[in-house]
Amino acid sequence: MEAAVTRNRSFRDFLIYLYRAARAIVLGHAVTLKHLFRRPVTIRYPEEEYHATPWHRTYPALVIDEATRELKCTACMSCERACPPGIIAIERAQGEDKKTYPGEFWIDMLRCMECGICVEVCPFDALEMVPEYKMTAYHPDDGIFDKERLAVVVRGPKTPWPRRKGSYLEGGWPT
Amino acid sequence: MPAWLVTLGWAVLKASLILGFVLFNALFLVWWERKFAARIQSRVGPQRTGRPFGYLQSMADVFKLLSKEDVVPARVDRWMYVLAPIVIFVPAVLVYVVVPFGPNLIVQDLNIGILYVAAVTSFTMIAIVMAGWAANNKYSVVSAMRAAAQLVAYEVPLVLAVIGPVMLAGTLSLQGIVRAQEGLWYIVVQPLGFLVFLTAGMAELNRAPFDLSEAESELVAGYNIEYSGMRWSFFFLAEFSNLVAVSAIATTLFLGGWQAPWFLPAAVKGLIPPVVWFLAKTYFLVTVIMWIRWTLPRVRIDQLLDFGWKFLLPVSLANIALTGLLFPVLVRLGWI
Ligand code: SF4
Ligand code: SF4
Repeated sequence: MEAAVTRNRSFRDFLIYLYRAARAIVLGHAVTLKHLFRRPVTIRYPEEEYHATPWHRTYPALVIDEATRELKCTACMSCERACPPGIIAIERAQGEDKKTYPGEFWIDMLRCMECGICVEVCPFDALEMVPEYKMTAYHPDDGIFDKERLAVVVRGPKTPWPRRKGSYLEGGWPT
Repeated sequence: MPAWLVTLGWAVLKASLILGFVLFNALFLVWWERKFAARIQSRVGPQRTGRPFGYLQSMADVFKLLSKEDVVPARVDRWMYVLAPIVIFVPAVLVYVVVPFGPNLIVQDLNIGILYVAAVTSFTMIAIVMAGWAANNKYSVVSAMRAAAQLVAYEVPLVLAVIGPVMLAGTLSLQGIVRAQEGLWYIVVQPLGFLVFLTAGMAELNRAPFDLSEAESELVAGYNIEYSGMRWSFFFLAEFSNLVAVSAIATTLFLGGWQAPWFLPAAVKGLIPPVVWFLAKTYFLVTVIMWIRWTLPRVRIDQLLDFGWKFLLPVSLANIALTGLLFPVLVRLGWI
């Protein structure tokens, strides 16, 4: 029924319809014209840098305790079990004081899907997603990050997400 | 030298000039459209092939196309499959025969010029149906059928829109129409005709928002789906060549062709050669068509045919009637 009604439009309805269509078309072109003279948002990566925010979550890294200068990880293997693609490999080692620590710790970054589940399950807050994003490698073997590559100092408590001002497009974040 | 040799020499020279113009256009416009589309979408477009601005991007495309394997799928209708790219390319070049680039820069000023354009461009449809049918592919047949329905629906308003300027100028020759616009461009007295011509022209070009026959998201690619390499690039060349041709014809009919704007003083008019005016106007229209393409979404097939038959056709007929009624008034005012 509905279709039949719209088909039998009066001439006045038709004119209103025509006006609306013309208005929409003109406004649409105004929008695209405005965008034409805007600065592109593209960041030309090797030449220009993307300034990731401190709370940007790229890949999981091992946290170094700032007080003791040692890894917080106790090699409890929770993350190894929880990782959906199963790409974390840990070799547990034991010190003289019977405390366990990861002798080796690998994450296959080529297959990591950056889900952050390992970070969530870690009972010791020993894993953290870091803002580092330059992960390119020339050889597949370099894509498997070992303990040294994964260890980072995570600085201080993270500030909350800022509302509007100072987005990375307008000059970037403090590094 | 015998006369026939001179004629032959001129013919070859003119033909190669036009072919060169068509090829250069395709190279330039591919790059230009990419840049233009990119900026509309707040991107930068090609930039690494040839710094700055990626001006070698089209050359890279050419080498890519040339080095591609020329696949002829099994069970295609071989003759038609091979002929279709040629059939689509030839009329795209033939149109330029009557396009007046300047007062003396025209291959042949036919006295039925605009009729010739309408006749030659209709061949495109045959080529599209050939390609779509020969490829033995469901999508390409659907695409060819759509293209046929669309071209028939829009050929009529296109030709009717042309009648306005023809009535005002009193001649079918394109050069004659340009000369008649010395005092006033016809877009001022034929705004409706211009809009109808541009809309129907875009539909003839199968360009968005009327690109139903090459709707990538619905039909994979359209009638050229099975083509690859050089054969495919002939379709591509024809498309860009037609884009320039429609803009050039619109410039000739409505924007005064190679004439400088009528309101400029004679001293200023003499500064810029006519061919520059012509090319500037043509590329301006090309850019406008690209702008429309990157703004409006694709229409549905029923909307498309509704729009063609129920809106453009009456409007173009009304335009002819209006032109006829206003003709004595315009003559009295001394505008034409
Ligand atoms: S982020 Fe996800 S995929 Fe990557 S290591 Fe942690 S749990 Fe595995
Ligand atoms: S869950 Fe935490 S503490 Fe346990 S092995 Fe993984 S990183 Fe180490």
